[in-house]
Amino acid sequence: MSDIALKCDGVTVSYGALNAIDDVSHSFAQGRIYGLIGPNGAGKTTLLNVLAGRQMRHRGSIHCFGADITRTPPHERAHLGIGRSFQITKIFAEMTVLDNLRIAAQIKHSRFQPFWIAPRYERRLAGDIDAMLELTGLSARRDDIAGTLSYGLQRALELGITLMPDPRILLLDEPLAGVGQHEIASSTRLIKAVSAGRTVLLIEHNMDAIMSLSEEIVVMSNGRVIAVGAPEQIRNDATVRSVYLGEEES
Amino acid sequence: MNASRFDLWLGLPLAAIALLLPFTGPSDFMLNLATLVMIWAIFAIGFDFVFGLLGMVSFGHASFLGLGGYALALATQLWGLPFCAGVCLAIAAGALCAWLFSFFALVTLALSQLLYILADSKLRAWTGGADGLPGVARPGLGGIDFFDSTLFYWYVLAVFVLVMAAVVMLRRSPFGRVIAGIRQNETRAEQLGFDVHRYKQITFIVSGGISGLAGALLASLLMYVNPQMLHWTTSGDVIIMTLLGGAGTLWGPVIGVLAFEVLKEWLSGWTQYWYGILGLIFILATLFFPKGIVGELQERYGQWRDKAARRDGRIS
Repeated sequence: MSDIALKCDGVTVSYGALNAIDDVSHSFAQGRIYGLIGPNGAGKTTLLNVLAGRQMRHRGSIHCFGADITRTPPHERAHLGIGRSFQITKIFAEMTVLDNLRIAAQIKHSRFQPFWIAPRYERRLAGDIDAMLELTGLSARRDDIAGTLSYGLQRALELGITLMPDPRILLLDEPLAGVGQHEIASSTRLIKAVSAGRTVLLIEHNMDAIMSLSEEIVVMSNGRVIAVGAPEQIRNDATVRSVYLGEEES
Repeated sequence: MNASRFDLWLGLPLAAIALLLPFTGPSDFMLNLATLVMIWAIFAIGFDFVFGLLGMVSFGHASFLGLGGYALALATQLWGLPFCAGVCLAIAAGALCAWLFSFFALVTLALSQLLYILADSKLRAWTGGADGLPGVARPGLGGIDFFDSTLFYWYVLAVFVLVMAAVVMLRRSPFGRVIAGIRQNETRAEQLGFDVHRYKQITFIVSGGISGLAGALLASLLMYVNPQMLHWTTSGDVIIMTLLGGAGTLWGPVIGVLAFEVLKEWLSGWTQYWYGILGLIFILATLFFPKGIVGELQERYGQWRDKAARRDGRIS
């Protein structure tokens, strides 16, 4: 079963009478990049929340590399290799870029965090941090307070934090939202680069980006999966065009 | 390393004052006030660990302080343990109580009032009820007479320095970074894989232990414990002091306690309505220095340094 990275079975999330997600069952194969699209309120973010453990009140079950994680809290899922970025940037805004990445590196290196000033421990983190600064293009800004960075750079930092523990599964919620036009191409390249060898679930409203990044598109509407297929296939699917792509054009 | 240099600049004059004070021929009153300020500062530092660093409001810290005081009193009087063992017991009592409280984050006020009522009436046989327990011990160390105000001052100063050193270490440790991270973005910390609840509990336990230590020292200074230490107003006072000085900063709680106690001594010599005036000052302070005295200074210092750096062309 190990070639299935994530599997949801009959997942339903209801808020009162409303089903945010309605009986979703889908398997996400290891090493593939999935694009999750659908109109606002389709349940895309809720699905990511269910997979990451932020939304524990749901029916159905979740498996990660064959293990049942339905009742596993979010921090434990992180240790199983699930990394998650958020639609609204979640970084440690009052810390420097370096300290943001340090915290993320700490969880990778040790589950126990020293109570004392630990130069040797910090040195062990340094290599990973430098590599991540390089990858995200933040080397020159390492000593800047994270909250003062431009939004595009904050997104890059969040991606860096998410990647630091080297997750096998990446859940990315609109990584391009709010990124300036001139930064979109480089951000897309970065996402492409870090997706290699990982299972990626990507929510994105930028159609060009998601169609070029994804190997398989999952279309959601009203809490259900209404179509699954390769990008070109989805582009030509009549149902999808009417509920989603058509809506965009109108 | 901006903040740490600021902490050093602020700490040096305070250290100088603390070291020189006993040589200026102070009155017993002055020495006792200075000792009281240091003990309350230890308490406020312990409290700020949860309040400023972790970002959680606790109305239960009077319990940890009070339990520390009673633990020392009972250990030395009832069970005849040495002072040192009593202090260790006080730290353990504060930490244990904090651990229990950490499961009930929202009702710490109710729990601490429960302890107050227990000490005040229900457990009178042990706690002496509202009268408290007089005759709490002073430390005995190699035949030094710590009933002497000056010598006890040195004793408390040594403990204070140890606590400050421990707190500096904790704040700059990888553990401290995670705690600060949890305050700034709990969801992110959790999604990275940190067991946020566990970290909060540990922080509470450390905070409770420091508060218990402060309680023992306070009981020893006054040579007396009474239920007032457990009362919710004690929790309120420490919140006010910490906010006044600057929550989350290293010296904020210390400066806050100093300002509070000095104002209290000065105002209460003037009028019996000193608490009301103090409240007014506190309201004005939160309006005009929302980050507290030290928080405000630290910000100014940061701006000044940025400006100086830009002038020198170190930052383009």
